[in-house]
Amino acid sequence: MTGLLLRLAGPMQSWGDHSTFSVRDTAKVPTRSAMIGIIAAAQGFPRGKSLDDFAALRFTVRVDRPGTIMYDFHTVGGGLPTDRTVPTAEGKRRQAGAGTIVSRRFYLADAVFVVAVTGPEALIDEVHAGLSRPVWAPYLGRRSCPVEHPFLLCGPISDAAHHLDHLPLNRRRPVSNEDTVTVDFVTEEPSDDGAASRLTLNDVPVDLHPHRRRYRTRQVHITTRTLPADLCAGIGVGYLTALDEHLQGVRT
Amino acid sequence: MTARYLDIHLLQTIPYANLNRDDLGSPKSVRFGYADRTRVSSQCWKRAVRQEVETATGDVAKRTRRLPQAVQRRLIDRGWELDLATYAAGQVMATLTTMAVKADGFKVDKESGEAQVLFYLPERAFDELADICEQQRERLTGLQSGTVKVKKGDAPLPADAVRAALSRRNDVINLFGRMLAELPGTNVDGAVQVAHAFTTHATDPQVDFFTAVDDLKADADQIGSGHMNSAEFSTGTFYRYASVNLEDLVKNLGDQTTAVELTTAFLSAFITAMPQAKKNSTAPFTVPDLAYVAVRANRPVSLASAFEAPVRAPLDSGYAEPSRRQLAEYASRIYRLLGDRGLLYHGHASIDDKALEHLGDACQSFDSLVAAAVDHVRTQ
Repeated sequence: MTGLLLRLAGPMQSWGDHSTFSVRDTAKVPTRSAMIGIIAAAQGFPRGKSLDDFAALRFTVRVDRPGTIMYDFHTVGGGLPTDRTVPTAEGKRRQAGAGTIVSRRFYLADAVFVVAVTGPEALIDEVHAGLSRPVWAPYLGRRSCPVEHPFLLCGPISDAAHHLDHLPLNRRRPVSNEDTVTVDFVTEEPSDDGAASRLTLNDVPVDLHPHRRRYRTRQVHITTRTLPADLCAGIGVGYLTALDEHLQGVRT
Repeated sequence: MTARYLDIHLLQTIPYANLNRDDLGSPKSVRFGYADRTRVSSQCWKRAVRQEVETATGDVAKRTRRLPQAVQRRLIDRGWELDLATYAAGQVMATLTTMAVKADGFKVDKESGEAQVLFYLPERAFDELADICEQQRERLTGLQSGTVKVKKGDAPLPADAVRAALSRRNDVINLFGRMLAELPGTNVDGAVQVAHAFTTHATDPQVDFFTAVDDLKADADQIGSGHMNSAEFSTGTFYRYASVNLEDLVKNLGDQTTAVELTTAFLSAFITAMPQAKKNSTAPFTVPDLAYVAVRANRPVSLASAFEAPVRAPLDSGYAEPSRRQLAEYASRIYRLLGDRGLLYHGHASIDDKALEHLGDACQSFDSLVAAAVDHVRTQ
């Protein structure tokens, strides 16, 4: 088993796990379907192509910053003449002046996650090649939320999930003088330490074709662990420098 | 190495305005790097850009049932006899009928001469259909006089060419995709990604308490207003980012030359287009003070994280100038981290006298910057 480390950061992310249409919710952590979507798009998979190849991938998520939930009030088709409004299900048109479609789209603002993607060596090599030269650029759940760099932190390494204990944290050091901080980890297998809670997500992609999206549920385990407070490298340039130094060691 | 992605980054300072509101009328916001910022959503700025591109390229799509008349008029303009032109337009419809899922969809109403379906086509699709008739003029004359016969169910005109004309899309559809299925099977995936714009620094919405004077009350020597309310506004230096997937754009358009032209049109519009909200009461029509363009072989790179640590304004200057410096400094660090493999060209144009280090070529104007970047797409 080898693995990669991906950093998911940006002003806004949106990890839909159960809603479509007019209220579009976001999960609080990246979903499996989103991760597989990012990976498959980078490799140029057209919609509807089988995703079975990716079943062997395992994702471990470290929550650097949980972020806050915000929603975007989004309207479509307002102020247009009748013939340019959004068609109804019958194929008819809405009345001019009454054609606006309103949706509320939820986002996670200011969140940062680091994800360890692990799996068989040949598969991880393909995933790495795809993410290095993506056919379609990775984004954080919506195309309006491009990933921030560094996104792909390293090439294939052994024991990627273990690295999450040592990688600098993209958060401020707490003001208190404690020498540890608590960090949430999301794993697909129950972990043997820390306080765990279980969460069911409907996010195992069976088919991502827009006309027949189907998912299965999976259980994830959320474990709160303590890590040294020295890992908190702040934000911006200070964090980049700390990350760079740490990765020099990983790459060699 | 081939150019696969073209990124554009802008810093634009916007005075007292409310370009994009939520359902409560407040400027939209986002929290980033522990600080609240003002935000303009991607869909909001994209709409302004879309309209600008349509105006600039003059490539307007038309929605009409009057396809036969459109073809007929073009043929008459080219000196055809009315009879033959009308007949030719009818044969275009007959050709469509042979490939339709439901044959009566393309039936033409005898009285109005209109088709049953509503077409949604760029102007040049009509020209193309007229060109096909032009090429087939002899055959059409033969068909009309009965010297040439068509088997029942066969298409009188080359079906593939007619089908190609009907699947034409206009520039805006090729850039941003077609989110509404105007005709079945004509969905288009956009080639441009636009991020939400946000301020490089923390902002607080500013409340404007206003009253409206009742003129007649004042004449009657009474005091008090006719109406009072409050509205929210915000100001700030915005970071704006978009990325063009050049391969997707070429795929959507079918050829490299048009893709280069359209990329140029998009970049120019992205630099200058402004959302129109509250324009009459705020007139916030500024232009960006920095544009930075990068042509890449591997992957797009957004620089939003340059402002994760919110810009602080020193006592003697605002946010715009430190934002430009912070962007340049962050770019240099992130490029060191990524390595500069895959960066084929980058350049910038800004209001500073001195070129910004780490942001590539210093160009004199937005136009020359766009031209230089697009040249690197072309030469690949």
